[in-house]
Amino acid sequence: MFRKLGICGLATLIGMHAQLGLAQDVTVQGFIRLEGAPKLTNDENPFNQNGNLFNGRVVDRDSSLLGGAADTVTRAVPDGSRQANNWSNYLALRTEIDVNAYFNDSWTGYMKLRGLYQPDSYDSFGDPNFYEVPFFNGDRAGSRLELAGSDYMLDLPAFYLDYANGPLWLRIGNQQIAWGESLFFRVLDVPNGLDLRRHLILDLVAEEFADERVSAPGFRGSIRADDWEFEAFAQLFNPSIIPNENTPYNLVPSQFVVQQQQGFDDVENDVNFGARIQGQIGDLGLQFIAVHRTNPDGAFRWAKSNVNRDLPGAPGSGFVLQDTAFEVGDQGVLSAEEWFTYAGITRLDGVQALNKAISDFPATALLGAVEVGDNFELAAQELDLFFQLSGGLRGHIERRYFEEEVYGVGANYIFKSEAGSFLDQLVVRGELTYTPDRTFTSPDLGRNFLVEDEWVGSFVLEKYHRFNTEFPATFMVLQYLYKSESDLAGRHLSGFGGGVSSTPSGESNFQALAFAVQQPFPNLIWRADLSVLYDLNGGTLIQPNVRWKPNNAYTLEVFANILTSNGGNDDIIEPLEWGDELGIRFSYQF
Amino acid sequence: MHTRKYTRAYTRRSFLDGLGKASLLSTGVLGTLWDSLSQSGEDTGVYPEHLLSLSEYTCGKVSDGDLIDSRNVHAVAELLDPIRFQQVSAMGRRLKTCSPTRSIDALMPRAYLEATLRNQGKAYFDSDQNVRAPGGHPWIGGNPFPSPKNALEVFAGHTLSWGRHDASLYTAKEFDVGRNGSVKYRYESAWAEYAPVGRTELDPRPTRADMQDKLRYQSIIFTAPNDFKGTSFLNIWPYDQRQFPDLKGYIPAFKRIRSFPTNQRFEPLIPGSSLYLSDAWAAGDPFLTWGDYHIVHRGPALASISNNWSHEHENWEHGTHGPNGDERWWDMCVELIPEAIVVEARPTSFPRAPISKKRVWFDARTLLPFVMVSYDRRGEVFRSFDGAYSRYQSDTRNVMDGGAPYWSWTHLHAHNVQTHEITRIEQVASIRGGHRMMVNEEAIFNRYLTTHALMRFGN
Repeated sequence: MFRKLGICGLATLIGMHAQLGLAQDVTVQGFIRLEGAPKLTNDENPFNQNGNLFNGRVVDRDSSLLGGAADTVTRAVPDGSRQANNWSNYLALRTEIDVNAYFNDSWTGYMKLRGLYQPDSYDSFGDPNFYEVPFFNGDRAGSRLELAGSDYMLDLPAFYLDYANGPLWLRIGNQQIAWGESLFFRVLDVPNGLDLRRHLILDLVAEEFADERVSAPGFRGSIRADDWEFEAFAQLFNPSIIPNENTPYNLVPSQFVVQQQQGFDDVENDVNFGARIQGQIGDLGLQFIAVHRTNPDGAFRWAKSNVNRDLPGAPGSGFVLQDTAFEVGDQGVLSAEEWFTYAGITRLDGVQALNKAISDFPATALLGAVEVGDNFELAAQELDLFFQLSGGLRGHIERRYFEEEVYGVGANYIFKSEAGSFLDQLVVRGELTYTPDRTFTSPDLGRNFLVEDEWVGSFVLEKYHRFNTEFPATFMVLQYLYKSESDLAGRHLSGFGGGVSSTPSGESNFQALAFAVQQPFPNLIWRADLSVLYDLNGGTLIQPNVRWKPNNAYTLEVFANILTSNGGNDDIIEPLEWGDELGIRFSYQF
Repeated sequence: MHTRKYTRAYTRRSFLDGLGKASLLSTGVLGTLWDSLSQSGEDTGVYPEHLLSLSEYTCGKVSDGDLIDSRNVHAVAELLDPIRFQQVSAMGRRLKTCSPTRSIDALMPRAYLEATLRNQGKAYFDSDQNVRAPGGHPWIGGNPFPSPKNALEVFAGHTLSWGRHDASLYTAKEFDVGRNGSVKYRYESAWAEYAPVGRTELDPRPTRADMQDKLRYQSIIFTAPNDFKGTSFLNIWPYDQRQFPDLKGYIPAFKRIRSFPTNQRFEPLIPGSSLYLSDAWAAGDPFLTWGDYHIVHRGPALASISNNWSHEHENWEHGTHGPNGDERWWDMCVELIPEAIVVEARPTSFPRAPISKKRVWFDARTLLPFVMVSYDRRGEVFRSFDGAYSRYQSDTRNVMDGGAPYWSWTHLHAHNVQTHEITRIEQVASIRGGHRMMVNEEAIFNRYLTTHALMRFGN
């Protein structure tokens, strides 16, 4: 690890030296921060082996309709007899160092070095790999200017030159591009994907994905004329980064093996580009965007396992299995009940996924598997049969990326009314995007992805209001989000509503509300926030937060993430409901 | 030479007489102040001798060059506002006295003075109470009311041109001092001002046709410490002084420009600070969003209007002092000014403002504010703001504004009297990030006063 850190530091110094040697003024500032998220419940992440809902639980299996038998199975608790008993979801030491370089009145430079070390305090199956993902730098890093090991990452989320000359502005280098103005909801904020490896999306809501948005090398420029501004960018593609298996915020059940490398290699050199026009007509602000991009979220489907491992007692069967979407392994699914339970949680159709695993991979039929149509009972029997024969099957899925065009419009208007009234200075904002032929993961994980036109719209009311003379104004924002085809995480709505005994009923649209209030105290030394995300299907994230900045050097932030769901596998919170936690950040800046 | 008939009692009656005719103010005691200033460039023959010499005014108890502290402050009590008196008498503040500055040329930028002389008598209030030039055009430069007849004219003239320059970039350091006198927060910032109208130096003059409905662009960009680096706010002031400025902000954590409601002007922008947007230049809001302007006092005062440039320090940084060796107060130089006009106003367009009224002390010769005291909703003294100015010229070193010496503010205090938290700010030559003081450079607009600029500094 330290060798890697040294190499990265050296590379950084060399890069900066080239810049700084020409700079007239160089400023270095930074901070060190301890970040933690102790758990508030004993619930574990069900997508990890140690949190599997079936650990230690006796489950009935029945394949008698297919000539098998009824039996029971108990998923062995990984790591011997231990049940996971994590006290914390997240514990990391972070440092960020900002270097500003001033060359002349037109040229400036900026570099942010971000480093995180996350000790292996998480009780998982083996040593968790927090940060390595197979995209860059020896298939170990999530972005181009990053070095990562299992418990550390060091990257340059910003490393660019700025050029400004009159109304012309250019930014060249590794950068984030943030568009749109909503909490939680990313309607116009389409240029960059998200890095979910560190603290998922459970950082402070008010920060609006600032730490998650993935930067990439690119050019961005704008030119302004009167009240209008034209902006354009071209930027290398970088996928969104999902947490690894058996890490605290893992989102993909560990019964799956996710193949990310090939799909990424095919699009590694893709370039996203787009333009935005912003302007003001009287009190009405308008913006229009058009973006061509490779969707950073990607889509998943069954993939060949390429693992030649025999079924117990069936020598040579591994040769066939390697051409199917499965491999034999006790980390895999052990029962139809487990299969359907996790299909529901992950918004998949357990019956059709079985069919596609057979029809898309003919070798599966060589093992005797047959498609079952819509017959749920037959699917369950067939699944139980194979799990009885195999002792557990892991499914392989691959991640693929697709190009798309996103067209959007945004408008905002500031109401003016009697001074001090609630309507006075009320900001009303709307954002709307249309994406023709967007590609989604099909709930059956079939070879053919779902392709649909998607509309995404948000409506925002924002208000600073001074309720009394003693306290600074309170900031309040109320937001509404509508998506026609997928949820906040991009999962297609046709996979919603399934469960252990039913296939998905689907949803016609996704709707959510968000509300946030921020109340600074006099002198801004204290600030209290409350953020709420409510999925109209019954899921809620509540995040209260208190921030204390007693002096120049130290800042303490304490917040909580309270997640509740009414079940039904039809809201976005349910898969995270286990995650109630207390967030703590203690920073020292220099 | 003035005879003894112009006694202190005569002077006092003269100033009180002016108060009695608050709507028909006439500055000066022995003659009309502006007539003298416009003809000779000094206040010659307008004030009796005892208003021109600190030694004479105090009967020798305090002379130029003396230090005013708790031991002798009572000798000059009536020359100080109540807050500075309290600071000196009870909180360890000291004031150095300097010789009075008589030439008005040293008390404001030369181009502003010339425009004031050139355009005198041309200004009027339109039916909406906005200041207009002949033909209904926006004001054309300089002070529109150099010989004000009422309190509104005093305030309007100052609000139209805060810094008396067409474009300014003030690079500043801020120190927020806690109750115990120690510095708890330190910030560095760049404060930019740009005038599209009333221009005296930059072309096109006097008005940029494409922006003639705007009075001012103003921004503040914090460059240190790290957690506030890039935090910035941009105010775009309509010319119509009944309207609130548009307020946009860039918070680095959000990575985007946000529009802020514009009437939240009575709260600090950053933790620990005792300075509000509304405090800027003692006239931080459009002057028609305040009302009930009236003059509450006229008389001599001690003001920091010159000799305050810290030319000895390479970066113009000022010395400090305080009780027990702390760093509570700036070192400041004050001088006797013969006539201050104290204007009171109320925040009539801010129903939930934490203050009920403010009083601002103006030098009658320049109509430049040097002290502001505000009162809370109960009528108790709440906060004070006192600033110092100077021509940036010394025997060894000059800062030039085109062909003339640079004139500007130098350092200031904002003091929350109820919590005894104090914000000290000083103008320095440069701050981290390559920012340096600039004056009357057109480039200031594109570099500091657009949303692009805010994004660029926000990284």
